[in-house]
Parts: sequence; C-alpha cells; structure tokens
Amino acid sequence: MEQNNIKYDICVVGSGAGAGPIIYELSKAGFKVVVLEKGPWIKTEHFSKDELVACRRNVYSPNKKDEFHVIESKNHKGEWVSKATRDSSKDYWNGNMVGGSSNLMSAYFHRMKPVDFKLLSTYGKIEGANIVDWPITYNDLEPFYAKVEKVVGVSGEVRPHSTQEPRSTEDFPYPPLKTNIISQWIDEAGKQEGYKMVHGARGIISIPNEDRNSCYYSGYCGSYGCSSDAKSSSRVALLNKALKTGNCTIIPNAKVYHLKTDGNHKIIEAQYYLNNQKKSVKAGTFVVACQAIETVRLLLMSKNKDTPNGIGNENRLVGKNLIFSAGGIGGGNLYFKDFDEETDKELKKQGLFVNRAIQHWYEIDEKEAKAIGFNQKIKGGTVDFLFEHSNPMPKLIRSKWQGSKLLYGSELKNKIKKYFTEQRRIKFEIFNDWLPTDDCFVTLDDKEVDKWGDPVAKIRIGYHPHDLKVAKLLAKKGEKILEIIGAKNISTGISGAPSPNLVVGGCRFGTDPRSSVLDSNCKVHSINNLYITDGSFIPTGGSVPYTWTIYANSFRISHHLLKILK
Amino acid sequence: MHTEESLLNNIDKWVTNRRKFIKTVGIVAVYSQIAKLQSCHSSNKTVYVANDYLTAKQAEIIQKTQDVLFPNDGNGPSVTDINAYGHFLWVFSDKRKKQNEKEYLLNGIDWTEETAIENYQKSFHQLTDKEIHQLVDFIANTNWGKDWLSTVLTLIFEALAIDSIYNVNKNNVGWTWLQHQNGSPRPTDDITYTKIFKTIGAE
Repeated sequence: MEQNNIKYDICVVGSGAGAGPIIYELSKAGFKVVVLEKGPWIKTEHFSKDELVACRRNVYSPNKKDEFHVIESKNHKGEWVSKATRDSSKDYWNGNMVGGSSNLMSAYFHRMKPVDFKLLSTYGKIEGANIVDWPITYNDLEPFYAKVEKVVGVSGEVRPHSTQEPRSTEDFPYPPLKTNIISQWIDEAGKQEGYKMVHGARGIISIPNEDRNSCYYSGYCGSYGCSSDAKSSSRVALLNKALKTGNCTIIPNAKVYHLKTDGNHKIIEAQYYLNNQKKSVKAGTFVVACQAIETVRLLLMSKNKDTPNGIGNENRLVGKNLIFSAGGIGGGNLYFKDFDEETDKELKKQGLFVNRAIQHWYEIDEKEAKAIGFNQKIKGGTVDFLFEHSNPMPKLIRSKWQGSKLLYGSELKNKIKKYFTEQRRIKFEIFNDWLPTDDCFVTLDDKEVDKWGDPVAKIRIGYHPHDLKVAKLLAKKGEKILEIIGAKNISTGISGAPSPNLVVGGCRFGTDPRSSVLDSNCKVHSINNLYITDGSFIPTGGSVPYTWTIYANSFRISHHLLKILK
Repeated sequence: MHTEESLLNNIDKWVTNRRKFIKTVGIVAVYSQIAKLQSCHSSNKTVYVANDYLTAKQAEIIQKTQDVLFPNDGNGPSVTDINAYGHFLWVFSDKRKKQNEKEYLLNGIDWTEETAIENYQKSFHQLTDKEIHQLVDFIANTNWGKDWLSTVLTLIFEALAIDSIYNVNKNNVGWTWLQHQNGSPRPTDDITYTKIFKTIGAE
C-alpha cells in the first residue's frame, strides 16, 4: 500500500453538504485539510442541460454494474425480500462527485422548527417508533442556519406565518428569486383557506456574489448541475473557497474502504482505492460525511481486532434508525383553454420559480388529528409547490401508459402533443416525518460485493403506518389549493416507498452511548478523533428537506472543532 | 448500396456473430458506423441492411415496429425524422449498458419473428402492413410484448427529445413539435455521454 507521507490536520471523507463547512472553516483557519472524494471532479464548465447525461444514463452516479445496493422490502405476503439495485430500476446513489449531491439538488431550503428537536417530549411515544429528543435545541443550531444563509447562499424573504421559526437575523441576505404568476394564485388560495403561504427559500443565489453569478432561470435545477454557480452546492460555495486558502487538498476518485485505528480509541489512517491501487493517508482528526448509507457502510467495514463489530458499533447501533422523508407527490393540470391569452402567456413562462409552501399543518391539532384516528395533536409537515420538471422524458414516458394499457401509434402521438402544448402541470411534494423504526436500517450484505470486492450496503426500507396517515391529511391541503387555482385531474400518490435522495440517520447522536452512536458534537462516542458530519446524526425528522440542516450542523461541528483544535 | 439478394445471403453469418459483436464493438465506432447503417431505398422498396448488431431481418423488424409505435401520420415527426433506428443501434455500442439489457432488445425482435410465424405461418418480412399492425396489437397484449414494446418506445422518446448532438431529434424537430424549451447551455462535444467520462477523469 502506498502511503502519503504528509500528515494532515484533518482528513475528510466525502465533500458534500455535510463535509463542505468543515473543509471550508478549517482550511480558512489554517489547518491542513485533505479531502478524499469517491467521485470525479466535475467542474462548472462540465455541466450542461443534457438530459441523457443528467437523467437517462446516470453519469453522475456509479454504474450499478460495479457498485450497487441491496434493498430489502416487503413483498405482497409481508415477507422481507432482498434485491440488488444492479438488477432493478432502483438507485440509491445520489451524486458521486466533488461537492456530492448538493451539485444536483433542487435546493428547496427549509429550516427545521423548534418542535423537530423535541418530538418525544412534545408528542410522546408512538408504538413501534424509536422517537427521541435531540441532544441539542433549535436555539443551538439557529446561528448556523443563519450562517448558511450568508456563507453558502440562501435566497428568500421572511413573511411571517403561523409556524414561522425564530430567526436571529431580520431577513435573508439574498432577495427572493423571481416567481411565476402561479405563486400569486397560490398565495390567494391560501388566504381564501384562512392561512398564509410560506414564501419558500432556495439554496440558489439571486444576485451575484464574488465568483458566483446569479440564477439565470434555466428551469433545470433538480438532477442537473448549475452553469452559473448560483446553486449553493458545497463545491461552489465552500470547496472553491477552501482551495484558495492553499490549505486544502482534494483527491477525487478516492474510495475510502477502511479507517485504521491505533488500538487506543483513535483513527490514524484512512485507506482508499485510487486508480485501482491501495493508498492511505494519515491525519490528526478524521471526519466522515459520505451520506448516511455509505457512512454506515464505511464504519461497519472498518472492523479490526480493536473494533470487531465495526467502528462505533460497540452497542450494535451503527446503521440503525435510518430515516427518509415520508410523504408523496400530487399534482393537477392547468389547461390553457381555461385562462385568457395574457394569463396563459404568464403561466407558460419557463424558468421562473413557484417557491410556495404550506406549513400551516406543521403541527396537526387535536381536532384534525382525531379525524384521522389519533387521540391527540400530532406532528404534521410541509407541502411544497412546484412546476413539473422541465425535462421532457418523464412526461413522455408517463404518456405511454393508460392505466396498465400501453399506448402507441397515433393515439399516443395525439396524447403527447396535447400534454406538451395544451396544459402545464403544477405539482406538490409532501414532506412529513419518517418515523424511525426497527425495520429501517443499513447493514453489510453477506454475499454481494462491489467491483473492489467489498461488501455492499444492504438497506431494509420498512416504514411506520403513522407516516402515511399524516401524509394523506397533508395531501388534502395541497389538493384543495390546486382546486382553488383551477387545476384539473388532481391526484396524489402516497406510499411507503422512500425517496433515496432524502436519507439521513443511521448514526444518531445523543448523550448516552448505550442509545446513540455519536455524542452531541457528532463525535463517535468510542473514538476520540472521529466525527460524522453528514445527515447520519439526525435521530428524527423528515418534515422538510434536510440539506439546510446538514449544512448548519456541519458549521456547528466546525465551530466545535476550531475550539478544541486551536 | 447493397443489393437485396446479397443482404439476404448474409443473414446467417450475422445471426452467428451478433452477440460477439455486441460484446466487442466499442463506443468509439458508434457515430461513424451508425451513419452507414441506415436502410437503403431503391425503386420504392426499402432494403434493410445488416450491421454489427442486427441481421437484415432483425433490422426490418425493429424499423417496421418503430413505425407502428410512432407512425408518420402527419402529427409531428416520424421515426426517420428523429433517427429512432440509429438511436436503437447506438444503445448496443454503449459499454456502460448492461449486456442483459442489450440482449433483451434483441430477444424482443426474435420473439416478434416467432410470433409472426406462429400467428401467420410466415416470416415477419413477408407480412403485409396490415398484418404487421395486427401483430403489434397482438404482442402489445402479451406480457413480454407489452414490456418490450414499452422499452422500444422509451428509446423512440429519447430520439425525439434528447439533444440533437446525439444525431437524433434532427434539427430539433422533436422539441419544435412539442413546443419544448430546451435548457441552456446545451452539451458540447467534450461533455456528451460518450466523452464526458474522459473529460472529467472518470475513465
């Protein structure tokens, strides 16, 4: 094995939203930081709006022939069955590249709210769910949410609403992005229903800053890289700045497979593959942030005589309580024939955002909760409105089906033509808590290996039925708004199938090593110099997309590291 | 241009070798080859040409099937306008594509031929246009046929809607028909699917 003779202060495994703040803050403070990123270094000029590259052939994630996951889900008889993603259309990779999946995010940025940090003490136990309070409060994280707004770049405007979270700053540093006329209709519909719409923030800058241009409203955000650097990816907002300090070294295509310990509760070396050669790097402090599933996999793979169950796994908790975001997707068609010509012209404008969300039912009061079978108030969630994505392939693929019947010929062509030219589809996404349960976790598969011969992650994806009840209630709220603004064919799909891009947990943090993997500063309880700073630490959640919270927590841990390392 | 007779004489050879070709032909050769692989039209009769991936018979089956699935009916582009056949062949040259997925495309063609013989006691290439439509209607109602035709349709959609840099959606004819506003920037040669892995150092 080839050893790098330099001993770095910090070695960071991964470079996405959980890693970026650490890399940025510690490089800026003068520490020597090395970053081992599994994916290639795709720079801004390499991104285009090529649907074949971004969506159809998964260029931004590993080839599933070489690297895949095993998914364990229930069959129709209620039995757990395993299937490798290599042999299915499922994909649990989310963007392997310098900057991670933050390059490809849609960048819906919501803060968690104070209640998210204390679900157990607020709502009590739920049978079959492993709910806990967080070891920190919203107030502990709030300064770092504010820091993300400024340093990473968040645009928006504060318009008080019924569940507005407390803020230390008056408003966002970047003004809101331009919106389509539909946003006004949604505001009005909310008013008609007796509540205020949330004017949603985005991790996309609306005015230029330093080396970054502002958003140019291409209409292609989710799944695509940004060509103006307006999207607040870890790569653009943090890594590029870290590199300028001269203290940061990024090694792309470096797949870490083992963390070596010294037998005395310290990591001394990260071992990785680069160009099919085994290499290693030494550092004083190690940070792992490879997204929840791969972080768990690395800890479990790092077995040795000192850590026979894997690192941090003395109590067999690594990989447990994996969570996603529960919910679903709804939508309806706005037919141009139903509006006048001027309105149609506005409605058709591409690239403009919707940026409206319902959070009025972030907590569902006792009366509404009773209507869906609960005895007390329960946690609700968010309904985020958006237009159907701009890329044509998903619309075409959906068009070929009429129920289970395959359409083709002139009938299909007519349907396609009408869909593309006679309407615009408005959608909503529901985000509510994915309750942590004993049926959602990551282990190592005992048979399947990746191209390097290492065991792949096996993910059991069970959900709690509570999640679906909440999602259905929220769906009704979204559907009502669509009905008011004149949408037709309104429908919602709610299911227990997770969105692989909304995955956290698996190394939950807490104060008690018997029930958590990490301490409140996200240090592995049993290892003195290993921190986990991606979303793995999150013990409960899902009512908003996680990215802003992951960024904020990583800044919080940076703050802690700066204190103890200086 | 090949004559029909010489093409038919070569069929057996292509059948024997096709899977070997699928495994060995690299992505580099793709564009130049596909340009040569189109059907030839002579005296109002289309001659279907064998190539590295398909026999002449198979080429005929897939092209005529594509034409039924996405007909030249005056509403939008035809499969020829979008080079759907060229795109179908291009998939075989993709070394990242799983071998079993490529074989599935071929198997569907062969199953279509088998069904033609079962239903009409003659080969697909001897069917009338009406019989071909009936055959597609028939296989669309079988489990295998529905899945395979659906896959073929998805590839037609790619030819309709992805960037014309891939030698499909010629002159943006698909986007124009759908009044689709493309994203910007569009891909340049060095960051197309065939080249991006090298460009970003991932090869």
